[in-house]
Amino acid sequence: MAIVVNLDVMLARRKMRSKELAEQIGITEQNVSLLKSGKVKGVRFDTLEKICAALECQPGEILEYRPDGNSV
Amino acid sequence: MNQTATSPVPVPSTRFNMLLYWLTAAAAVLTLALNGLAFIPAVVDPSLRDLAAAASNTGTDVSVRMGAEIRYLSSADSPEITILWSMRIVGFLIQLAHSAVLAYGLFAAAGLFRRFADGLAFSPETGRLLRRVGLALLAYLLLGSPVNTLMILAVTSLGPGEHVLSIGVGLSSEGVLMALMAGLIIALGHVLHDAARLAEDHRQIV
Repeated sequence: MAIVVNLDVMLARRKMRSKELAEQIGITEQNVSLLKSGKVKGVRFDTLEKICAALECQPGEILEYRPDGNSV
Repeated sequence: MNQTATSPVPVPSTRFNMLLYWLTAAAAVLTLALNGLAFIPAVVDPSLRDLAAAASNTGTDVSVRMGAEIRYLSSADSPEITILWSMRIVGFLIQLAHSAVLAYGLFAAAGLFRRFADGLAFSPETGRLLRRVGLALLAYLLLGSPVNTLMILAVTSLGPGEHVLSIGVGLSSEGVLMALMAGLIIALGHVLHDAARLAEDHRQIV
């Protein structure tokens, strides 16, 4: 997958724990963990908005396009 | 990917589905167990009685060969008929094979209700189980006529006298309705399978 989730980087920058973020945006810690590891098929705009609000960042700071050999 | 983002969609009527699970499982066991009636002397399959009547009408003597366990008059003017134990065993095996198809479908239905009770309504396995129910029902209906023919042929082959080959092809309104239901269940199985795939996709979106 050429889309890389940099949520762990942003969490480290903001010195915030996954549990805290999960509580703030109203999803489970397990889902935050899956999102961090990129093991999800998609992110709702609603979730993205809450993450950006909680981490005070832009979507581009969380999601990054990094072309790999398999990408179209 | 083995992990899913959220837990499976729960089904509220757990108790109702558990009840259906037990009922269908019991029906499946009963479907197989009832074949044992072939060995109870007092019970004789009506088709065998008709067969005996047909044999007597053609002048075939099917009376009193082995044992004299069961004797009854098939009709007012026919002689006494004895159902041989070999006939019973072959009849039992043929009927058991036919019933096994239905029992397979019922066991699949029981598995389906069990999964519903466990809150796994949208999983690929439920789609597969539902398709199995429909296919088993369809197979049971389609096998009805050949099984009847085979039964009569096998049973008359064992007795003395002429062999009877009875081929019956019928189209009853109940049969058509049941076949339509079976087709509907198979189609729903496909839909459920696709729904499970969509639900899985949905679970992986946070």
